[in-house]
Amino acid sequence: MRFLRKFDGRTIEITTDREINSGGEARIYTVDSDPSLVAKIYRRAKPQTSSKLLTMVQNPPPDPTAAQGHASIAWPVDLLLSAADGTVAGYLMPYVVGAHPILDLYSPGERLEVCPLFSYQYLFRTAQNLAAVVHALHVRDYVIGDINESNILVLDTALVTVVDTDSFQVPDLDGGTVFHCPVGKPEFTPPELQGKPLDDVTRTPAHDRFGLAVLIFQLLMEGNHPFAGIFTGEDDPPPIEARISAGHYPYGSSEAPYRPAPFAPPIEILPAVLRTMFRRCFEDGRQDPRMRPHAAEWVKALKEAELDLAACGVNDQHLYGSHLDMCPWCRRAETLGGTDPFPSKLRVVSGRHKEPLPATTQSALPSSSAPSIRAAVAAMPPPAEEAPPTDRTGPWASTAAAALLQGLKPALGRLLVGGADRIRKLRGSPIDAPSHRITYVGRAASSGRSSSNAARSRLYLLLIALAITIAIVTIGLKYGGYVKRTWREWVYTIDFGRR
Amino acid sequence: MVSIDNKIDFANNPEPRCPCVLLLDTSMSMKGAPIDALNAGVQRFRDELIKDKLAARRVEVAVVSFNTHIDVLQPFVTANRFSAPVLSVQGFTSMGTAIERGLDLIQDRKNLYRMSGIAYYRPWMVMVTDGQPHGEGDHAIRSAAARIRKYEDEKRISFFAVGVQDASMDNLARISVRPPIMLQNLNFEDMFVWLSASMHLVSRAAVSEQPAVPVPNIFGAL
Repeated sequence: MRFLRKFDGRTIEITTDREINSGGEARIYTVDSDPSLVAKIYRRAKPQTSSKLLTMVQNPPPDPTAAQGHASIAWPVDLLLSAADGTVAGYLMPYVVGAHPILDLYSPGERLEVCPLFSYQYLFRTAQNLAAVVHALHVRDYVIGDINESNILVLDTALVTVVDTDSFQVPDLDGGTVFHCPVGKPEFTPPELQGKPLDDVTRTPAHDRFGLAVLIFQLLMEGNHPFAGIFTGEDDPPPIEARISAGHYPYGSSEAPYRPAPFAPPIEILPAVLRTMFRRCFEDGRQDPRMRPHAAEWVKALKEAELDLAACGVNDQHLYGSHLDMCPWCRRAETLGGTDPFPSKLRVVSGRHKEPLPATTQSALPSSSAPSIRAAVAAMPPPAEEAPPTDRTGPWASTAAAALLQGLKPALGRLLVGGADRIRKLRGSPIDAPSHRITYVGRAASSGRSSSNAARSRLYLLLIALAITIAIVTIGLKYGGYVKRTWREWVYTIDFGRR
Repeated sequence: MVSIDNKIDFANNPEPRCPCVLLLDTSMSMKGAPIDALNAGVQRFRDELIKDKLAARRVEVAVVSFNTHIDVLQPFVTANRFSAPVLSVQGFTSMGTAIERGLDLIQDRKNLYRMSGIAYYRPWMVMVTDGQPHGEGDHAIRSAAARIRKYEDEKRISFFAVGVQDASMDNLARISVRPPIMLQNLNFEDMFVWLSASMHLVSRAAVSEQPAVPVPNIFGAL
């Protein structure tokens, strides 16, 4: 097939064997003459789209990740005209190589197939990046409109690209109005637009915020839709969009006739801040769409929540909110007959990540060296009362001792506080490569170990250190004078060669 | 209680489901070219279905063959894990019993979805036959037809009857609420391509309305 680039003037040759994707509306092809681009060719001519595409090509928004060499928005680069009759046949856009549709990553089964090392932190980062792109568009008065599981692409570095941009709502700079977004998927459509014909609805960012929150929920809740759940009524369960219209969010405060989906992760794996934001969007947002969190709010909240992720002591691919006592992913693997949603690197490398974990897996007890130290400390006699220092020690010894103790006090204080449950936070460094090692201090997630035991053994260690320090200081005070004299005598014996 | 296999399936794939039952006549009269074409058609159905990522995960296929006996050759499975069973022929045509069996399969599946909090689209049932009920009591087909009418009225099923060769279209018109589809020249390919395209639309479209799927009356007409 031959096409003419409208603004560039060159002809583009597309062969059908270069097809990489197809949908009801169009087919996507790679372009031999330019590997950085793909061509979207409509199945049927769409004359109403041509002026929209024209405006879009002439007014591209700034790409938030242009400096990183990544296209966040698959914006039309040029129009493609049919070589036969010059009508608009499609358009060219940047090609994001190796990206997966977002649903391949939030769906646990698919994720195991295509990207098994995409951990919960990567899912968090994807959500954050998605919100960032949406924010960048909203700031420029673009509204995505048809935000859904199939038009967001994600790289294995968690970088996001929004595609199908030809269905965006775009300001019509000439007409003073907008080019509408005539499509939408019911599961992502906000209650105020449910059941309405979408051809001439002027959308607002508040509409997008609903679909954005649905995708973020799916990313963080293993692909479950926020409005999925067990219907407690008599008849056939209403479809998802009816539940959206009715505001029947199962995790809300109102009496929605739904129990949470039994095989979804428990909502408590999300920190309270995020749970509140979801409630604001799906419950409060029904009456007042302004209650829905803005994209920028999501970016900030997700960034902070990601810093609060901790790693499991059993499998370092298990990352979870530090507000939890136990690893939810270990537990989930148990309830699912050993199917690990985030298999360890070892299992992935050895190709066994799709197999269930063996039932006879070992389970650790708290470290057995801890009790013996504790026992030793308990058996130690308390430090003996020392005699007050004599004049022989001289003024410098007591000053040194006092200074030592002074110096120790704040350090001791910090250590004592830190003896309580403390986890060093995850550094939020940009993830450039899939094998990037996150440095963190994890904590043992085996259920036997409680944080107060750890704190107590730390306290005992500190007491021992203190006792030893006091012993040294006391010895120094007692024999300091002798050491001084012995040192002076030795110095005098050195022959300096002149008297 | 939900079995561990179903639990794992729903946890790994929480997408809403679109159940589709293929009710296939494997009576003696289908022997030879018809059953070969039908086998090829079901294979084509699977291949077309999985081309759409969403449909591959949302459509669940069950295959029930019927002759004198009813055989659930394939219990419900998601399209991406469905492989076409091989059909072989024998005996008479227990059509009414087969329809009831198909409807029961659907009802059980819906109960499972309900217990598991999985949303679902209106189930489809497509019956392919080359004759009329034979070898079962008359009441069987009548009660089956009544049940289909009831479910169609309540919008709880979409039932399509496809008549092959010497099938009595009048008879099928009495069973099916929608006009029966006539298949000529054993063109199962076209029919199954249409079915998979319809499944693609259903798995993307609004749950409450049936999408405007053009249903040809005749497939394979020259």
